[in-house]
Amino acid sequence: MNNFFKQLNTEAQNIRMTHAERSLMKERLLAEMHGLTPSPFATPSPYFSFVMPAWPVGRPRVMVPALVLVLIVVGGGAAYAAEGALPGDLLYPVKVNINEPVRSALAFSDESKADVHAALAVRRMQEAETLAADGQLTVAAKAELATNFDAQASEVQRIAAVVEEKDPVAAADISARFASNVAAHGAVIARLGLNSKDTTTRRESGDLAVRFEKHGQKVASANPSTAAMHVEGASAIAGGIAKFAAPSTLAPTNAARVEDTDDVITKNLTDKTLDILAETDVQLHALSNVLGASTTARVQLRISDVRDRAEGTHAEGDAATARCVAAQALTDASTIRAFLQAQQRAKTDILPQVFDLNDGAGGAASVSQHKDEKHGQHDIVPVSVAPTPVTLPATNGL
Amino acid sequence: MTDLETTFREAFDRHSDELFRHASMRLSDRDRALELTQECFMKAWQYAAKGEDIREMRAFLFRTLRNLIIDEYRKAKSYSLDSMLENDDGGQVESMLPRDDTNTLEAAMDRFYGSRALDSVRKLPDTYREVITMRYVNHLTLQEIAEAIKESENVVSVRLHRGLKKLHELLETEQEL
Repeated sequence: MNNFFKQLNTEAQNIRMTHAERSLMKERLLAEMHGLTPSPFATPSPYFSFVMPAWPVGRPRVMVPALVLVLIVVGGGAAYAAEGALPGDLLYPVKVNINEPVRSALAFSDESKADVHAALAVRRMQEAETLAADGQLTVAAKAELATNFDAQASEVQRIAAVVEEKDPVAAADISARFASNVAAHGAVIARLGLNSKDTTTRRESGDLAVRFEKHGQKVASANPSTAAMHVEGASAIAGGIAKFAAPSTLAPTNAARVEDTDDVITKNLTDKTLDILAETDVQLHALSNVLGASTTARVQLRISDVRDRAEGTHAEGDAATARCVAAQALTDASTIRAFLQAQQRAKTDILPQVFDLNDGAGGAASVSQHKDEKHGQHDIVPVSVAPTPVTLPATNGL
Repeated sequence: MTDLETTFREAFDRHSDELFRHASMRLSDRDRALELTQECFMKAWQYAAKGEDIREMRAFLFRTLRNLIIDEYRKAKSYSLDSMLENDDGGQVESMLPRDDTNTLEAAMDRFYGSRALDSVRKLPDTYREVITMRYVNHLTLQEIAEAIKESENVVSVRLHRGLKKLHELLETEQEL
Protein backbone atom coordinates (compact mmCIF):
# COMPACT_ATOMS: atom_id res chain seq x y z
CA MET A 1 0.00 0.00 0.00
CA ASN A 2 2.93 2.31 0.57
CA ASN A 3 3.85 2.13 -3.05
CA PHE A 4 0.27 2.87 -3.92
CA PHE A 5 0.28 6.16 -2.10
CA LYS A 6 3.63 7.12 -3.48
CA GLN A 7 2.40 6.55 -7.01
CA LEU A 8 -0.90 8.21 -6.26
CA ASN A 9 0.86 11.26 -4.94
CA THR A 10 3.30 11.53 -7.81
CA GLU A 11 0.57 11.25 -10.37
CA ALA A 12 -1.71 13.60 -8.51
CA GLN A 13 0.99 16.26 -8.34
CA ASN A 14 0.71 16.48 -12.10
CA ILE A 15 -2.75 17.85 -11.70
CA ARG A 16 -2.38 21.58 -11.70
CA MET A 17 -3.34 24.69 -13.49
CA THR A 18 -1.39 25.88 -16.48
CA HIS A 19 0.58 29.00 -15.95
CA ALA A 20 -1.88 30.92 -18.05
CA GLU A 21 -4.84 29.69 -16.05
CA ARG A 22 -3.22 30.61 -12.79
CA SER A 23 -2.30 34.08 -13.97
CA LEU A 24 -5.80 34.71 -15.19
CA MET A 25 -7.27 33.54 -11.92
CA LYS A 26 -4.90 35.68 -9.92
CA GLU A 27 -5.70 38.67 -12.04
CA ARG A 28 -9.39 38.22 -11.41
CA LEU A 29 -8.83 37.76 -7.72
CA LEU A 30 -6.79 40.95 -7.58
CA ALA A 31 -9.48 42.78 -9.48
CA GLU A 32 -11.97 41.60 -6.93
CA MET A 33 -9.71 42.73 -4.15
CA HIS A 34 -9.25 46.17 -5.63
CA GLY A 35 -12.75 47.35 -5.23
CA LEU A 36 -15.07 45.47 -7.48
CA THR A 37 -17.72 44.50 -5.01
CA PRO A 38 -19.23 41.05 -5.29
CA SER A 39 -22.67 39.85 -6.18
CA PRO A 40 -25.09 38.87 -3.43
CA PHE A 41 -25.93 35.70 -5.34
CA ALA A 42 -23.87 32.57 -5.01
CA THR A 43 -22.89 32.45 -8.65
CA PRO A 44 -20.50 29.92 -10.12
CA SER A 45 -18.87 32.25 -12.59
CA PRO A 46 -16.88 35.38 -11.79
CA TYR A 47 -18.35 37.04 -14.81
CA PHE A 48 -21.58 37.48 -12.96
CA SER A 49 -20.17 39.56 -10.18
CA PHE A 50 -21.11 42.97 -11.39
CA VAL A 51 -24.11 43.84 -9.29
CA MET A 52 -23.78 46.40 -6.50
CA PRO A 53 -24.08 44.83 -3.08
CA ALA A 54 -24.08 46.32 0.39
CA TRP A 55 -20.55 45.59 1.56
CA PRO A 56 -19.36 48.41 3.76
CA VAL A 57 -15.77 47.64 2.86
CA GLY A 58 -14.45 48.28 -0.60
CA ARG A 59 -15.26 50.91 -3.15
CA PRO A 60 -18.61 50.69 -4.88
CA ARG A 61 -18.42 50.10 -8.56
CA VAL A 62 -20.63 51.31 -11.33
CA MET A 63 -22.67 48.52 -12.82
CA VAL A 64 -21.97 47.73 -16.41
CA PRO A 65 -25.47 46.79 -17.60
CA ALA A 66 -24.83 45.87 -21.20
CA LEU A 67 -21.95 43.64 -20.24
CA VAL A 68 -24.03 41.94 -17.57
CA LEU A 69 -26.69 40.94 -20.08
CA VAL A 70 -24.17 39.71 -22.55
CA LEU A 71 -22.24 37.78 -19.92
CA ILE A 72 -25.33 36.05 -18.64
CA VAL A 73 -25.97 34.89 -22.17
CA VAL A 74 -22.45 33.68 -22.73
CA GLY A 75 -22.03 31.86 -19.44
CA GLY A 76 -19.00 30.67 -17.57
CA GLY A 77 -17.94 27.62 -19.54
CA ALA A 78 -17.92 29.31 -22.91
CA ALA A 79 -16.07 32.26 -21.46
CA TYR A 80 -13.26 30.03 -20.25
CA ALA A 81 -13.21 28.08 -23.50
CA ALA A 82 -12.98 31.29 -25.51
CA GLU A 83 -9.70 32.20 -23.86
CA GLY A 84 -7.79 29.92 -26.19
CA ALA A 85 -9.49 31.07 -29.38
CA LEU A 86 -7.62 32.37 -32.40
CA PRO A 87 -8.75 34.68 -35.19
CA GLY A 88 -11.11 32.64 -37.33
CA ASP A 89 -12.37 30.51 -34.46
CA LEU A 90 -16.02 30.58 -33.52
CA LEU A 91 -15.35 31.81 -30.01
CA TYR A 92 -12.78 34.45 -30.96
CA PRO A 93 -15.34 37.28 -30.93
CA VAL A 94 -16.32 36.20 -27.43
CA LYS A 95 -12.71 36.43 -26.38
CA VAL A 96 -12.06 39.84 -27.86
CA ASN A 97 -15.39 41.58 -27.54
CA ILE A 98 -16.69 40.13 -24.30
CA ASN A 99 -13.97 38.66 -22.11
CA GLU A 100 -11.36 41.31 -22.75
CA PRO A 101 -13.47 44.42 -22.15
CA VAL A 102 -14.36 42.84 -18.83
CA ARG A 103 -10.69 42.78 -17.92
CA SER A 104 -10.19 46.43 -18.66
CA ALA A 105 -13.42 47.31 -16.89
CA LEU A 106 -12.13 45.50 -13.84
CA ALA A 107 -8.90 47.46 -13.80
CA PHE A 108 -9.22 50.31 -11.38
CA SER A 109 -5.97 52.23 -11.26
CA ASP A 110 -4.18 53.70 -14.24
CA GLU A 111 -1.27 51.36 -13.75
CA SER A 112 -3.44 48.28 -13.83
CA LYS A 113 -5.32 49.63 -16.84
CA ALA A 114 -2.02 50.00 -18.63
CA ASP A 115 -1.13 46.47 -17.57
CA VAL A 116 -4.36 45.10 -18.97
CA HIS A 117 -3.91 46.79 -22.33
CA ALA A 118 -0.29 45.74 -22.49
CA ALA A 119 -1.34 42.18 -21.74
CA LEU A 120 -3.97 42.30 -24.44
CA ALA A 121 -1.45 43.63 -26.95
CA VAL A 122 0.83 40.74 -26.01
CA ARG A 123 -2.07 38.37 -26.55
CA ARG A 124 -2.49 39.62 -30.10
CA MET A 125 1.16 38.98 -30.69
CA GLN A 126 0.92 35.48 -29.26
CA GLU A 127 -2.09 34.73 -31.40
CA ALA A 128 -0.12 35.88 -34.40
CA GLU A 129 2.75 33.62 -33.38
CA THR A 130 0.51 30.61 -33.05
CA LEU A 131 -1.01 31.24 -36.44
CA ALA A 132 2.39 31.85 -37.99
CA ALA A 133 3.77 28.65 -36.52
CA ASP A 134 0.95 26.70 -38.13
CA GLY A 135 1.30 28.52 -41.42
CA GLN A 136 -2.20 29.96 -40.97
CA LEU A 137 -1.54 33.68 -40.84
CA THR A 138 -3.92 34.91 -43.51
CA VAL A 139 -4.28 38.47 -44.72
CA ALA A 140 -7.60 38.79 -42.92
CA ALA A 141 -6.29 37.39 -39.67
CA LYS A 142 -3.29 39.66 -39.72
CA ALA A 143 -5.42 42.69 -40.43
CA GLU A 144 -7.65 41.88 -37.49
CA LEU A 145 -4.71 41.32 -35.20
CA ALA A 146 -2.92 44.43 -36.36
CA THR A 147 -5.91 46.67 -35.79
CA ASN A 148 -6.51 45.40 -32.31
CA PHE A 149 -2.83 45.49 -31.46
CA ASP A 150 -2.60 49.10 -32.59
CA ALA A 151 -5.56 50.01 -30.43
CA GLN A 152 -4.12 48.32 -27.36
CA ALA A 153 -0.64 49.71 -27.86
CA SER A 154 -2.00 53.22 -28.30
CA GLU A 155 -3.87 52.86 -25.04
CA VAL A 156 -0.72 51.79 -23.26
CA GLN A 157 1.08 54.79 -24.63
CA ARG A 158 -1.70 57.16 -23.70
CA ILE A 159 -1.95 55.87 -20.15
CA ALA A 160 1.80 55.86 -19.70
CA ALA A 161 1.80 59.53 -20.60
CA VAL A 162 -0.88 60.21 -18.00
CA VAL A 163 0.97 58.23 -15.36
CA GLU A 164 4.20 60.06 -16.22
CA GLU A 165 2.72 63.19 -14.66
CA LYS A 166 2.34 61.81 -11.21
CA ASP A 167 4.68 58.86 -11.02
CA PRO A 168 7.58 58.80 -13.47
CA VAL A 169 8.95 55.59 -12.01
CA ALA A 170 5.73 53.72 -12.64
CA ALA A 171 5.51 55.18 -16.14
CA ALA A 172 9.04 54.06 -16.90
CA ASP A 173 8.12 50.65 -15.61
CA ILE A 174 5.11 50.42 -17.89
CA SER A 175 6.99 51.65 -20.94
CA ALA A 176 10.03 49.48 -20.38
CA ARG A 177 8.07 46.32 -19.84
CA PHE A 178 5.85 46.95 -22.81
CA ALA A 179 8.69 47.87 -25.12
CA SER A 180 10.63 44.77 -24.13
CA ASN A 181 7.60 42.55 -24.62
CA VAL A 182 6.93 44.00 -28.04
CA ALA A 183 10.56 43.57 -29.00
CA ALA A 184 10.52 40.01 -27.76
CA HIS A 185 7.43 38.97 -29.60
CA GLY A 186 8.48 40.87 -32.69
CA ALA A 187 11.56 38.68 -32.75
CA VAL A 188 9.53 35.52 -32.42
CA ILE A 189 7.05 36.33 -35.10
CA ALA A 190 9.76 37.46 -37.45
CA ARG A 191 11.56 34.17 -37.03
CA LEU A 192 8.42 32.06 -37.23
CA GLY A 193 7.39 33.82 -40.39
CA LEU A 194 10.72 33.30 -42.04
CA ASN A 195 10.64 29.61 -41.32
CA SER A 196 7.15 29.15 -42.63
CA LYS A 197 6.50 27.27 -45.83
CA ASP A 198 3.34 29.22 -46.51
CA THR A 199 4.07 32.35 -48.53
CA THR A 200 1.12 34.31 -47.22
CA THR A 201 2.23 33.60 -43.69
CA ARG A 202 5.76 34.65 -44.50
CA ARG A 203 4.65 37.92 -45.94
CA GLU A 204 2.06 38.76 -43.34
CA SER A 205 4.22 37.91 -40.37
CA GLY A 206 7.05 39.96 -41.77
CA ASP A 207 4.65 42.84 -42.01
CA LEU A 208 3.54 42.32 -38.45
CA ALA A 209 7.07 42.12 -37.16
CA VAL A 210 7.90 45.47 -38.69
CA ARG A 211 4.72 46.94 -37.31
CA PHE A 212 5.52 45.68 -33.83
CA GLU A 213 8.94 47.17 -34.13
CA LYS A 214 7.50 50.56 -34.95
CA HIS A 215 5.16 50.46 -32.02
CA GLY A 216 7.85 49.36 -29.66
CA GLN A 217 9.90 52.31 -30.77
CA LYS A 218 7.00 54.68 -30.31
CA VAL A 219 6.26 53.57 -26.79
CA ALA A 220 9.87 53.55 -25.75
CA SER A 221 10.70 56.95 -27.20
CA ALA A 222 7.53 58.60 -25.96
CA ASN A 223 8.67 58.18 -22.41
CA PRO A 224 11.81 60.21 -21.75
CA SER A 225 13.13 57.84 -19.14
CA THR A 226 13.03 54.88 -21.47
CA ALA A 227 14.42 56.77 -24.40
CA ALA A 228 17.76 55.86 -22.90
CA MET A 229 17.00 52.31 -23.89
CA HIS A 230 17.61 53.15 -27.49
CA VAL A 231 20.74 51.65 -28.75
CA GLU A 232 22.57 52.38 -31.98
CA GLY A 233 21.22 53.72 -35.22
CA ALA A 234 19.15 52.79 -38.18
CA SER A 235 19.36 49.04 -38.31
CA ALA A 236 18.80 48.50 -34.60
CA ILE A 237 15.38 47.77 -33.27
CA ALA A 238 13.62 49.48 -30.39
CA GLY A 239 14.79 48.29 -27.03
CA GLY A 240 17.35 46.17 -28.81
CA ILE A 241 15.60 43.07 -30.08
CA ALA A 242 17.40 39.97 -29.01
CA LYS A 243 20.74 41.62 -29.17
CA PHE A 244 22.49 39.49 -26.67
CA ALA A 245 25.34 41.90 -26.69
CA ALA A 246 27.89 42.61 -24.03
CA PRO A 247 26.89 45.54 -21.83
CA SER A 248 29.87 47.64 -22.78
CA THR A 249 28.56 48.13 -26.29
CA LEU A 250 25.47 49.93 -25.03
CA ALA A 251 25.68 53.70 -24.99
CA PRO A 252 23.08 55.68 -23.08
CA THR A 253 21.75 58.52 -25.18
CA ASN A 254 19.77 60.29 -22.55
CA ALA A 255 21.36 60.78 -19.17
CA ALA A 256 19.08 63.54 -17.99
CA ARG A 257 17.34 61.74 -15.11
CA VAL A 258 18.02 62.15 -11.43
CA GLU A 259 20.06 59.29 -9.99
CA ASP A 260 17.50 58.29 -7.40
CA THR A 261 14.77 57.67 -9.94
CA ASP A 262 17.21 55.79 -12.10
CA ASP A 263 18.11 53.46 -9.28
CA VAL A 264 14.50 52.67 -8.53
CA ILE A 265 13.72 52.10 -12.18
CA THR A 266 16.76 49.92 -12.59
CA LYS A 267 15.81 47.86 -9.60
CA ASN A 268 12.28 47.40 -10.92
CA LEU A 269 13.57 46.32 -14.28
CA THR A 270 16.00 43.90 -12.69
CA ASP A 271 13.36 42.41 -10.40
CA LYS A 272 11.06 41.95 -13.34
CA THR A 273 13.83 40.34 -15.35
CA LEU A 274 14.60 37.86 -12.60
CA ASP A 275 10.90 37.02 -12.30
CA ILE A 276 10.72 36.34 -15.99
CA LEU A 277 13.83 34.20 -15.85
CA ALA A 278 12.28 32.14 -13.07
CA GLU A 279 9.35 31.58 -15.41
CA THR A 280 11.64 30.57 -18.24
CA ASP A 281 13.32 28.03 -15.96
CA VAL A 282 9.97 26.37 -15.38
CA GLN A 283 9.01 26.61 -19.03
CA LEU A 284 12.29 25.14 -20.13
CA HIS A 285 12.00 22.30 -17.69
CA ALA A 286 8.55 21.50 -18.99
CA LEU A 287 9.74 21.59 -22.57
CA SER A 288 12.99 19.71 -22.07
CA ASN A 289 11.48 16.49 -23.41
CA VAL A 290 10.32 18.22 -26.55
CA LEU A 291 13.48 20.20 -27.14
CA GLY A 292 16.09 17.55 -26.57
CA ALA A 293 19.26 17.83 -24.58
CA SER A 294 21.38 20.10 -26.69
CA THR A 295 18.75 22.73 -27.44
CA THR A 296 17.77 22.73 -23.78
CA ALA A 297 21.38 23.25 -22.81
CA ARG A 298 21.76 26.15 -25.19
CA VAL A 299 18.65 27.84 -23.90
CA GLN A 300 19.85 27.25 -20.36
CA LEU A 301 23.10 28.94 -21.22
CA ARG A 302 21.24 31.88 -22.63
CA ILE A 303 19.10 32.16 -19.50
CA SER A 304 22.18 32.08 -17.29
CA ASP A 305 23.80 34.77 -19.35
CA VAL A 306 20.83 37.09 -19.01
CA ARG A 307 20.61 36.34 -15.31
CA ASP A 308 24.25 37.23 -14.82
CA ARG A 309 23.77 40.50 -16.60
CA ALA A 310 20.64 41.33 -14.64
CA GLU A 311 22.31 40.60 -11.36
CA GLY A 312 25.34 42.59 -12.35
CA THR A 313 23.54 45.84 -13.07
CA HIS A 314 24.28 47.32 -9.69
CA ALA A 315 27.95 46.95 -10.42
CA GLU A 316 27.65 49.41 -13.27
CA GLY A 317 29.31 52.74 -12.70
CA ASP A 318 26.73 55.32 -13.54
CA ALA A 319 23.00 55.11 -13.06
CA ALA A 320 22.05 55.67 -16.68
CA THR A 321 24.25 52.83 -17.93
CA ALA A 322 22.86 50.57 -15.25
CA ARG A 323 19.38 51.33 -16.46
CA CYS A 324 20.36 50.54 -20.03
CA VAL A 325 21.87 47.26 -19.01
CA ALA A 326 18.81 46.39 -16.97
CA ALA A 327 16.47 47.28 -19.82
CA GLN A 328 18.47 45.16 -22.24
CA ALA A 329 18.39 42.24 -19.84
CA LEU A 330 14.65 42.61 -19.51
CA THR A 331 14.20 42.56 -23.25
CA ASP A 332 16.38 39.50 -23.60
CA ALA A 333 14.55 37.68 -20.83
CA SER A 334 11.23 38.57 -22.41
CA THR A 335 12.45 37.28 -25.73
CA ILE A 336 13.44 33.93 -24.29
CA ARG A 337 10.11 33.65 -22.58
CA ALA A 338 8.25 34.60 -25.72
CA PHE A 339 10.06 31.94 -27.72
CA LEU A 340 9.35 29.30 -25.10
CA GLN A 341 5.71 30.29 -24.93
CA ALA A 342 5.47 30.02 -28.68
CA GLN A 343 6.88 26.52 -28.48
CA GLN A 344 4.46 25.58 -25.73
CA ARG A 345 1.53 26.64 -27.82
CA ALA A 346 2.70 25.35 -31.16
CA LYS A 347 1.23 22.10 -32.37
CA THR A 348 4.41 21.18 -34.13
CA ASP A 349 7.98 21.25 -33.05
CA ILE A 350 9.17 24.72 -33.96
CA LEU A 351 11.88 25.72 -31.56
CA PRO A 352 15.00 24.18 -33.03
CA GLN A 353 14.52 26.44 -36.03
CA VAL A 354 13.07 29.32 -34.07
CA PHE A 355 15.62 29.38 -31.35
CA ASP A 356 18.47 30.08 -33.66
CA LEU A 357 20.71 31.60 -31.07
CA ASN A 358 23.67 30.99 -33.26
CA ASP A 359 23.35 34.19 -35.20
CA GLY A 360 23.13 36.01 -31.91
CA ALA A 361 20.11 38.06 -32.74
CA GLY A 362 17.50 35.60 -33.99
CA GLY A 363 14.96 38.35 -34.18
CA ALA A 364 17.02 41.26 -35.34
CA ALA A 365 18.38 39.37 -38.26
CA SER A 366 14.90 38.13 -39.08
CA VAL A 367 13.25 41.53 -38.98
CA SER A 368 16.00 43.01 -41.10
CA GLN A 369 15.66 40.10 -43.44
CA HIS A 370 11.98 40.75 -43.79
CA LYS A 371 12.64 44.40 -44.51
CA ASP A 372 15.22 43.49 -47.11
CA GLU A 373 12.92 41.03 -48.75
CA LYS A 374 10.40 43.77 -49.11
CA HIS A 375 12.93 45.87 -50.93
CA GLY A 376 14.09 43.04 -53.09
CA GLN A 377 17.48 42.63 -51.49
CA HIS A 378 18.71 39.42 -50.01
CA ASP A 379 21.62 40.34 -47.82
CA ILE A 380 21.07 39.89 -44.14
CA VAL A 381 22.20 42.87 -42.13
CA PRO A 382 24.91 41.52 -39.85
CA VAL A 383 24.26 41.95 -36.17
CA SER A 384 26.51 41.21 -33.25
CA VAL A 385 26.89 37.56 -32.40
CA ALA A 386 26.28 35.73 -29.19
CA PRO A 387 29.26 35.48 -26.88
CA THR A 388 29.32 31.69 -27.01
CA PRO A 389 28.69 30.40 -30.51
CA VAL A 390 27.18 26.93 -30.55
CA THR A 391 26.31 24.75 -33.47
CA LEU A 392 22.78 23.79 -34.35
CA PRO A 393 21.71 20.22 -33.64
CA ALA A 394 21.59 18.10 -36.76
CA THR A 395 18.21 16.66 -35.93
CA ASN A 396 15.02 18.52 -35.19
CA GLY A 397 14.52 18.51 -31.46
CA LEU A 398 14.61 14.99 -30.09
CA MET B 1 -1.11 47.30 -0.41
CA THR B 2 -2.96 46.40 2.72
CA ASP B 3 -2.00 43.54 5.02
CA LEU B 4 -5.07 41.63 4.06
CA GLU B 5 -4.25 41.92 0.40
CA THR B 6 -0.73 40.66 0.98
CA THR B 7 -2.12 37.78 2.99
CA PHE B 8 -4.44 36.82 0.19
CA ARG B 9 -1.86 37.16 -2.52
CA GLU B 10 0.36 34.81 -0.57
CA ALA B 11 -2.52 32.48 0.13
CA PHE B 12 -3.22 32.29 -3.58
CA ASP B 13 0.38 31.59 -4.45
CA ARG B 14 0.65 28.96 -1.79
CA HIS B 15 -2.68 27.16 -2.06
CA SER B 16 -4.19 27.67 -5.50
CA ASP B 17 -2.63 24.58 -7.01
CA GLU B 18 -3.55 22.22 -4.21
CA LEU B 19 -7.08 23.51 -4.08
CA PHE B 20 -7.38 23.00 -7.81
CA ARG B 21 -5.94 19.53 -7.36
CA HIS B 22 -8.58 18.71 -4.77
CA ALA B 23 -11.38 20.04 -6.92
CA SER B 24 -10.13 18.02 -9.89
CA MET B 25 -10.18 14.85 -7.85
CA ARG B 26 -13.72 15.48 -6.75
CA LEU B 27 -15.20 16.72 -10.01
CA SER B 28 -14.88 15.27 -13.46
CA ASP B 29 -14.99 18.58 -15.30
CA ARG B 30 -11.71 20.45 -15.35
CA ASP B 31 -13.29 23.76 -16.24
CA ARG B 32 -15.64 23.50 -13.30
CA ALA B 33 -12.71 22.67 -11.07
CA LEU B 34 -11.03 25.88 -12.24
CA GLU B 35 -14.13 27.93 -11.65
CA LEU B 36 -14.73 26.52 -8.21
CA THR B 37 -11.14 27.17 -7.23
CA GLN B 38 -11.54 30.75 -8.28
CA GLU B 39 -14.88 31.06 -6.54
CA CYS B 40 -13.29 29.68 -3.41
CA PHE B 41 -10.76 32.49 -3.27
CA MET B 42 -13.35 35.09 -4.11
CA LYS B 43 -15.60 33.94 -1.30
CA ALA B 44 -12.74 33.78 1.14
CA TRP B 45 -11.82 37.32 0.23
CA GLN B 46 -15.36 38.57 0.64
CA TYR B 47 -15.52 36.94 4.03
CA ALA B 48 -12.29 38.55 5.15
CA ALA B 49 -13.15 41.90 3.64
CA LYS B 50 -16.27 41.98 5.78
CA GLY B 51 -13.98 42.10 8.78
CA GLU B 52 -14.20 38.43 9.77
CA ASP B 53 -11.09 36.82 11.08
CA ILE B 54 -9.56 33.79 9.39
CA ARG B 55 -7.36 31.87 11.76
CA GLU B 56 -6.25 28.90 9.72
CA MET B 57 -6.12 29.97 6.08
CA ARG B 58 -5.48 26.59 4.57
CA ALA B 59 -8.24 24.81 6.45
CA PHE B 60 -10.59 27.70 5.78
CA LEU B 61 -9.94 27.58 2.08
CA PHE B 62 -10.45 23.83 1.98
CA ARG B 63 -13.66 24.21 3.91
CA THR B 64 -14.92 26.85 1.52
CA LEU B 65 -13.97 24.72 -1.44
CA ARG B 66 -15.62 21.60 -0.16
CA ASN B 67 -18.84 23.52 0.47
CA LEU B 68 -18.77 24.72 -3.10
CA ILE B 69 -18.23 21.14 -4.21
CA ILE B 70 -21.21 20.00 -2.16
CA ASP B 71 -23.32 22.66 -3.83
CA GLU B 72 -22.06 21.43 -7.15
CA TYR B 73 -23.13 17.88 -6.35
CA ARG B 74 -26.57 19.04 -5.32
CA LYS B 75 -27.01 20.71 -8.65
CA ALA B 76 -25.73 17.67 -10.51
CA LYS B 77 -28.16 15.33 -8.74
CA SER B 78 -30.78 16.16 -11.28
CA TYR B 79 -28.67 14.54 -14.00
CA SER B 80 -28.75 10.84 -14.51
CA LEU B 81 -25.83 8.79 -13.36
CA ASP B 82 -25.06 7.90 -16.94
CA SER B 83 -24.63 11.44 -18.07
CA MET B 84 -22.35 12.09 -15.14
CA LEU B 85 -20.21 9.15 -16.10
CA GLU B 86 -20.07 10.37 -19.67
CA ASN B 87 -18.65 13.65 -18.45
CA ASP B 88 -15.79 11.82 -16.86
CA ASP B 89 -12.75 12.41 -19.03
CA GLY B 90 -11.02 9.39 -17.60
CA GLY B 91 -9.14 11.38 -15.06
CA GLN B 92 -6.78 12.96 -17.54
CA VAL B 93 -6.87 16.37 -16.02
CA GLU B 94 -3.13 16.78 -15.90
CA SER B 95 -1.76 20.00 -17.22
CA MET B 96 1.33 20.29 -19.33
CA LEU B 97 3.83 19.89 -16.52
CA PRO B 98 5.00 16.33 -15.97
CA ARG B 99 7.03 15.99 -12.83
CA ASP B 100 9.30 13.06 -13.54
CA ASP B 101 11.79 13.71 -16.24
CA THR B 102 13.16 10.25 -16.61
CA ASN B 103 12.02 8.08 -19.45
CA THR B 104 12.89 4.83 -17.83
CA LEU B 105 10.61 1.86 -17.69
CA GLU B 106 10.30 2.38 -13.97
CA ALA B 107 9.00 5.88 -14.45
CA ALA B 108 6.55 4.66 -17.07
CA MET B 109 5.31 1.97 -14.75
CA ASP B 110 4.91 4.45 -11.93
CA ARG B 111 2.85 6.65 -14.17
CA PHE B 112 0.70 3.73 -15.22
CA TYR B 113 0.04 2.64 -11.66
CA GLY B 114 -0.24 6.23 -10.62
CA SER B 115 -3.08 6.93 -12.99
CA ARG B 116 -4.79 3.75 -11.91
CA ALA B 117 -4.33 4.85 -8.33
CA LEU B 118 -5.96 8.16 -9.18
CA ASP B 119 -8.86 6.37 -10.84
CA SER B 120 -9.46 4.12 -7.89
CA VAL B 121 -9.56 7.06 -5.50
CA ARG B 122 -12.01 8.72 -7.84
CA LYS B 123 -14.23 5.65 -7.66
CA LEU B 124 -14.57 5.86 -3.89
CA PRO B 125 -17.83 7.02 -2.37
CA ASP B 126 -17.56 10.73 -1.92
CA THR B 127 -17.37 10.88 1.87
CA TYR B 128 -14.28 8.69 1.78
CA ARG B 129 -12.89 10.26 -1.36
CA GLU B 130 -13.00 13.65 0.29
CA VAL B 131 -10.87 12.74 3.26
CA ILE B 132 -8.54 10.39 1.40
CA THR B 133 -7.80 13.14 -1.10
CA MET B 134 -7.27 15.72 1.60
CA ARG B 135 -4.94 13.41 3.47
CA TYR B 136 -2.94 11.64 0.80
CA VAL B 137 -3.03 14.06 -2.11
CA ASN B 138 -3.25 17.42 -0.42
CA HIS B 139 -1.37 16.34 2.71
CA LEU B 140 -3.57 18.12 5.18
CA THR B 141 -3.10 17.28 8.82
CA LEU B 142 -5.82 15.49 10.72
CA GLN B 143 -6.60 18.71 12.46
CA GLU B 144 -6.86 20.64 9.21
CA ILE B 145 -9.18 18.05 7.72
CA ALA B 146 -11.33 18.17 10.82
CA GLU B 147 -11.49 21.97 10.47
CA ALA B 148 -12.37 21.71 6.82
CA ILE B 149 -15.19 19.22 7.06
CA LYS B 150 -16.42 20.38 10.42
CA GLU B 151 -16.13 17.06 12.17
CA SER B 152 -14.05 15.89 15.08
CA GLU B 153 -10.62 14.46 14.52
CA ASN B 154 -11.99 11.13 15.68
CA VAL B 155 -14.56 11.10 12.93
CA VAL B 156 -11.89 11.98 10.40
CA SER B 157 -9.72 9.16 11.65
CA VAL B 158 -12.52 6.63 11.39
CA ARG B 159 -13.51 7.85 7.98
CA LEU B 160 -9.95 7.59 6.72
CA HIS B 161 -9.67 4.10 8.05
CA ARG B 162 -12.90 3.01 6.41
CA GLY B 163 -11.89 4.78 3.23
CA LEU B 164 -8.64 2.87 3.11
CA LYS B 165 -10.52 -0.38 3.60
CA LYS B 166 -12.84 0.48 0.76
CA LEU B 167 -9.86 1.39 -1.39
CA HIS B 168 -8.29 -1.94 -0.63
CA GLU B 169 -11.49 -3.67 -1.68
CA LEU B 170 -11.60 -1.71 -4.91
CA LEU B 171 -8.03 -2.58 -5.75
CA GLU B 172 -8.53 -6.26 -4.99
CA THR B 173 -11.61 -6.55 -7.20
CA GLU B 174 -9.73 -4.79 -9.97
CA GLN B 175 -6.90 -7.24 -9.78
CA GLU B 176 -9.30 -10.10 -10.00
CA LEU B 177 -10.61 -8.83 -13.34
